[in-house]
Amino acid sequence: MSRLAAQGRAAPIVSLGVALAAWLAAFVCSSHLPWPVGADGDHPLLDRVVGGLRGGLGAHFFAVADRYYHRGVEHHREIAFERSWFQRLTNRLVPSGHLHLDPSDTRAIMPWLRFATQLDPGNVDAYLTVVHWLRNGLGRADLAYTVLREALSHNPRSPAVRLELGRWYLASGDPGRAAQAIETGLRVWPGDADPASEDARHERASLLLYRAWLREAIGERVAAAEDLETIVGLFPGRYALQEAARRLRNGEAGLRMTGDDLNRHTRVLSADGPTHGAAADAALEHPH
Amino acid sequence: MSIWIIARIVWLDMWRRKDAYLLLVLMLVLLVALTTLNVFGLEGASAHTVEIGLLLAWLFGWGLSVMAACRLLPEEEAHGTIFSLLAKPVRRFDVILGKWLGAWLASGVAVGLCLLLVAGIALGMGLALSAPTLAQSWLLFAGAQAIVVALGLLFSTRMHRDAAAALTLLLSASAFLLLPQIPVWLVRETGWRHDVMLVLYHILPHFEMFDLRLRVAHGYGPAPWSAFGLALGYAAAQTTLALSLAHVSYARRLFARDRMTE
Repeated sequence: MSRLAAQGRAAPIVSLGVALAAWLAAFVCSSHLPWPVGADGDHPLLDRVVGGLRGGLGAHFFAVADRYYHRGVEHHREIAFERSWFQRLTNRLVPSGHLHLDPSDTRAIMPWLRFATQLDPGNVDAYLTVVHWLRNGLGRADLAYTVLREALSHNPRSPAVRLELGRWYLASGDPGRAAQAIETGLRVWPGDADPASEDARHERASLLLYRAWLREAIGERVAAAEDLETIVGLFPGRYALQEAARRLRNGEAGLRMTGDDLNRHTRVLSADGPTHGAAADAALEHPH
Repeated sequence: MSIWIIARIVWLDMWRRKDAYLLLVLMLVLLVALTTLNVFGLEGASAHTVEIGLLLAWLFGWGLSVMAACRLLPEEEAHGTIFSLLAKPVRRFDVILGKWLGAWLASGVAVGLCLLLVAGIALGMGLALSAPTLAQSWLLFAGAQAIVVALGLLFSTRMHRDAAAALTLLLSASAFLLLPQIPVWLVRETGWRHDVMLVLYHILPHFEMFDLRLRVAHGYGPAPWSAFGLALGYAAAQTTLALSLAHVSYARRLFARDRMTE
């Protein structure tokens, strides 16, 4: 009797432990299983029911990854007061300041990004952040390609993933495939985004810039100039691009940079979030 | 003297129940499973195992503290042993203090073992955690546990076990998760909502100051010792307040044999 009673008393803790174990086991198992291609949309009802929760958790883990990149320091938020006794004491106890991980230490953010992409494979930003740090922080371009293929299988209509794939091919010395990826990116643009949104327009500008560079490289200067003029149409006032288009129409070298320069200066994402704004101008104003 | 005897009985009872051993084994299994996680094909150790391990230690320690604290007094009453206990030369305040001390020490030591397990697994993966920071983290969490155990005892002086446990869990979780958000919400709130939130902000226990998980997981050194001491002092003050209220409540409690229920 007393043994039964003792078992009953332990039940809440056992339940808590079993729930946590089941949750973690699901994570571990899912990380070992391949994702079915085209999983999204195959179960629309299920997607609707769990989609919000999944997306919310995915966004949470993406935020945790960002916190890890800032070495455990939360983003500053607007608060009504900041000098209460509790806040002053807590601020002395918890990490503070604006710190970044060394790029070679960015492996620490990867598990959180893995959780984010497992929970929400539609989180393109999380995928692109992984690709960025695998290539530029950890020097693992091979793994970056695998992640890009996975991102593409879940987000075939994402221009940002196509652009990143194009950049990967360009960095790998395969301009032919880079051109194909960029071309597909422009074809699927704006994907699921609002074409009038600032991000979507910058994305298109970046795709056009790459296509212009690739076209110029194979001698299609007029077509390249047209691409640059389209960018200027999207963002009037980009005089450096206007000037490059004029040079191309005159038969001169327009985009005076290497593929590496282009890749370096048109970083689409960093762990701090999207930076594709002004990418085209930055590439031309500061090519070296 | 009677306080120590009661505390010792609670301590022995806690370890006899094997809840803590169960949690330790569960934690070991979870952490080992985490180390096998496939992270985009990358190998090697990562701080995420440490952070999740520390989170589990917190969760287990929190659950253990609440369950231990909330069952002590109702069980004495349900089994009728409270009569033989109070028939001895023991003050009710000694009962409260002895129960609190035993439950706090046992759950605190259990969390210490969990943290040692995390540190051991981290070391096995090639991550050496800062020992002073880990010690601070443990002691501050023990401070938080002292408050939680005292709150559990306070509620169990007038409620049965499950109600007291539910209320303690709800209050401590709300305080930990929501209180740090109040300064953010107050940016947009005015009128009576603003005032109510401000009062809650100042009277409820601030558990967030006892959370050094990020400091440990991200390889920072120990926190300033003066701040650490102040946080422990705050924990002592909150615990004293809750135990005093528990004493007042329990001192006026009438026991009747025909109304004993867990």
